[in-house]
Formats: sequence, structure tokens, C-alpha cells
Amino acid sequence: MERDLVIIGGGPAGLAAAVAAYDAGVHDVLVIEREAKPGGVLKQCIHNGFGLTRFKESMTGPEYAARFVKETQARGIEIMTNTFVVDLTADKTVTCRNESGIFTVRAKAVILAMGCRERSKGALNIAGTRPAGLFSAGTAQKFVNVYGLLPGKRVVILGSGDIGLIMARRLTLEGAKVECVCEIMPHSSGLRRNIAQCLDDFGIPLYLEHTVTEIHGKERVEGVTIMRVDEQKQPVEGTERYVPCDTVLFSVGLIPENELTKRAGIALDPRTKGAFVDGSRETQAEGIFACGNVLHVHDLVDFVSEEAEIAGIGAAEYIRGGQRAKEYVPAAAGENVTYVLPQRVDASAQRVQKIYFRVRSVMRNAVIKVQAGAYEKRIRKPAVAPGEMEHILLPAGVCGGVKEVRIDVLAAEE
Amino acid sequence: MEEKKMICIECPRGCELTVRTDGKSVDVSGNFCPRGKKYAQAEVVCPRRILTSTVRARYGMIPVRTDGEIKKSEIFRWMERIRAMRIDRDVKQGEVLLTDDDEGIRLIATASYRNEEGDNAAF
Repeated sequence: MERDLVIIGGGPAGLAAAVAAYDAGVHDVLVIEREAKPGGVLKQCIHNGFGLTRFKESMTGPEYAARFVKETQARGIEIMTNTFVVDLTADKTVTCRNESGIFTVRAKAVILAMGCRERSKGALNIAGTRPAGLFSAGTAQKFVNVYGLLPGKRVVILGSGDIGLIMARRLTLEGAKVECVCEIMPHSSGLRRNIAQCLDDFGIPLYLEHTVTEIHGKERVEGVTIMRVDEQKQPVEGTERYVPCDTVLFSVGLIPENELTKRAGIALDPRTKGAFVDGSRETQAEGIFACGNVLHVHDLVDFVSEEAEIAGIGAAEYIRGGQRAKEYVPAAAGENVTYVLPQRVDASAQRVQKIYFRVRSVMRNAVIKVQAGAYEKRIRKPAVAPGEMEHILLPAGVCGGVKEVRIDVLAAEE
Repeated sequence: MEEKKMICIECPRGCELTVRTDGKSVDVSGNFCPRGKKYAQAEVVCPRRILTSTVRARYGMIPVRTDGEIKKSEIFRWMERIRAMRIDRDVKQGEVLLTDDDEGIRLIATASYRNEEGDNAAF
């Protein structure tokens, strides 16, 4: 099979990329989705709060997904479900598997939109046996919201990522008792509003600088030992506390799902754990683009959609016009910045380029400083936090001939 | 004068609000937009929330939400009613599944559901 554009993944990124590419003039688009329905993880994210930035209304996950599914249907974009992509090469051959067998699709351009998966308990090295009752927060979410099954009745949550916070509330609503949320860092990695509306609303304690050091129970979880940690994240002796529970949820981070990216030999950034990309979200393999959580983990789906549109337009331009010469300028993470994305911008681009970044630590009264040669801009922010992605807009034409674009986050001078 | 700090939940910005009340007036600071002020005022008088959950149907779960904010104190009463429901028919996204008698707030489906075996498979 030959297609103009193949998009791997029918979640929020893949759907938005498909619509954007179609509207930019590429109508032969195939979205490949491994599950029975498009929408990705939004299908199980039944809570509201999606779409506030983009649509100025608070939507639930299924509603947000349905809006994009309808857009693809209106354009007649094909979404091939129950189909798993098993291989990808740098020359844009996509090998797929489904009920009808194994087949390949040769594409003029590919967009990677595979999303991310949860870090597992295994990555944490916690002592103890392997009883029933250990779940990643997203798995528990699927059990409750999709299958209608309650994973347990007395729950401890390790990690204060947004899915863990959302599940603390969800399990409480369904009649479980959530004993506490333990976070090893001195601050939560989740959104502040989720601590307010998911924990504080229900009187669920959040223990910062605490971790689970042992899981007790043979057949089923019977309890956990939690301990305070010091600045080096080492448990402090004498702070042990036993908390009886039958279930432990892990909400300890997300990892971009880049197995196919690696198979295609595309270079990954160790900081984002996604591909290196330029302003149009093209990877270092010509004609292969990436967007959404496979590129870097986002905290808001609104930004996933926006980034997917950049990739969709980039792919459409590539298909219609071929590769044009780009003038690359690296984008550098300066003071108090963990990473910037894209990692390089195109100085010859005729449009504004949006650069996302994450700060290293919580800061009040911060100033974002953007510098590209003689161009300098400072933006004041009342507060920044690692869990909340920031962005700047880089005007067209300011990067010509400069060595780098650099973003620093500094303390405001009062 | 009573002073209270709270995080605004209206949007992901999560403004840190300071609310001062003397019984009659409510003074809000720290809000970036008017929604923060409204939220804080409601929060000291009668906190309200959108409730989202799932309703059990014959071949799967239907995600639902209230179409307006319900009183925070009513959340578990609503949950009892939601948990008692059983759906055995097709449902369209946006369809009303339950109407609250007191305030006219309705429970609506946030996804369509087809009452057929296999159609609601997660994978």
C-alpha cells in the first residue's frame, strides 16, 4: 500500500495532526490505531478540565477526543483501528499487523504520535514481595472507568503525578479509602489545582519528601512502610510508619513510547526522551515528524493538539513541496531550564515558532529571558513550576545568522 | 476579619488566592482573572464542583458529568444515585441520564454508547 501521509497513533496528537495535514492540502492520510477506537488515553480520562486553553471551555477527556474524531470524520480521514505498527524504517516504510495479517505501507511522510506509557513499579526498586494489589495509576484508571472494576478498598498512592491525584479522587468517589499520597520530592509534580480539588476536597493527606520503602503482604498487599527522605532522597532512620492498605498505586512519571522511533534509527534527546526535532517537529530523519507525548510528556492535552498541528502542517508542506533547505540554529536550555523543544529552530522559517520548555525548580516572580543574537525579550511570570510547561513565541526572522536561541528563567529584580 | 488561602481550580494556572471575609463582604486577591474571584467567593459561601463519574451499562461503562456545578456537600449523594443506575439501551453523547429535583442540574453522557456486546471493548 502507498499513502501520502501515515500517522502512527490515533490519540489526541494523531487526530489533530491528521486534521491539520488535511487542511494544509494533503488528503491521502492514514491514521493507524492499535485500540478498537480512536481517542487514546482520553477515553479513560473521564474528568473535566480539558480544552480550557484551546476551546475556552472545560471538557471531559471523551468529549475532547470526540471533537477531534468528528473533525476527522467530516474530512473522510481513514482511521485504521485494531492495527499495531510493528516496524518503521527511516525510508518511511511502516510495517503493520492486524486481523488480516502483516502488511507494509510506504508513505511520503510519517508522523509519530504513539504517546507515552507509565513508569512501572519495577523502575523504583522497592523492597518486598510481589503481591496482588499493585497498579500503575493509569491501569487503575482503566479498571475503574472502562471496565467498571474497583482495584481495592484501602489505597496508598506513591507519586503525586496528575493521574495519581485524579485517581485519589476517583477511588474516593467510588467508595475506597485513600490513606495518603507520598511524594519523594519537596513539591508535587501534578498541577496545583489537582491537589486542591482531588486531595484537599476529600481530606486526603499529601506527604511531601516521603516514599514507600517496603510493601508488605504475600498474596495481597497488606500494608506499606512509608518513610521521610532527606535532601539526597535517602530514607531517614526512625521515620518509619506502617500504613495498612490493600492496594498501592504508582504515579511516578510517564515515558515517551519510542520503540518505533529507535527502530528507524532516529536520534533521541536524553532529556525529553523523545526525538530531536526542529521548529516544524521534523525529526532528524527526513519526512518523519513527531508530536504529542511521544515527543515530550505534556501536562495539558491542549498543547498536544497545538503541537500536533505544527507537525501536521510541516508534514503537509514536505509532501507538497519536498524538503527545502533549512538554516538550523540550536535552541539552548539556559539557567533553571530543564529542556527546550524544539531543540533547533529554522532561521529561514517565515512564521512565528513556538518554543516549549520546562523549568528546573519552582520559582515565584520569575522572568523568562529569550535571546537570539541582538534579539532579546523578557517576560514576567508570577510563578513557574517543573510540572507546568511554559512557552515563548519566537518571531520570524530574528534568528538569521545567530549562534543559538537561548532561554533562561531568572529571578525578577525588585 | 478571617483570612484564608486557597488554590483556584478554574484552570491549570492554579492561582494562589487570598480570601478575607468579615461575615458580610468577601475580598479576594491573587487572582489572575475574574473567574478566580468568583471561585473564591463561592468557595467561602457554598463550594461547588462539576462531578464526573461513570454509569454502568449492560456491556460497558458510560462516562458522565453534571451539566452544572453541584454543591460539594451533595457529591456523595449524587454518587449513590449514579452507582444505582443501570443502562440497557443506546446512549448518545450529551444525552440526559438523570435530572436532579432540587436544582435542575442534569447528569449527561460524555461519550456515546452502543448497547451491543463487543462494541465497547477497550482494546
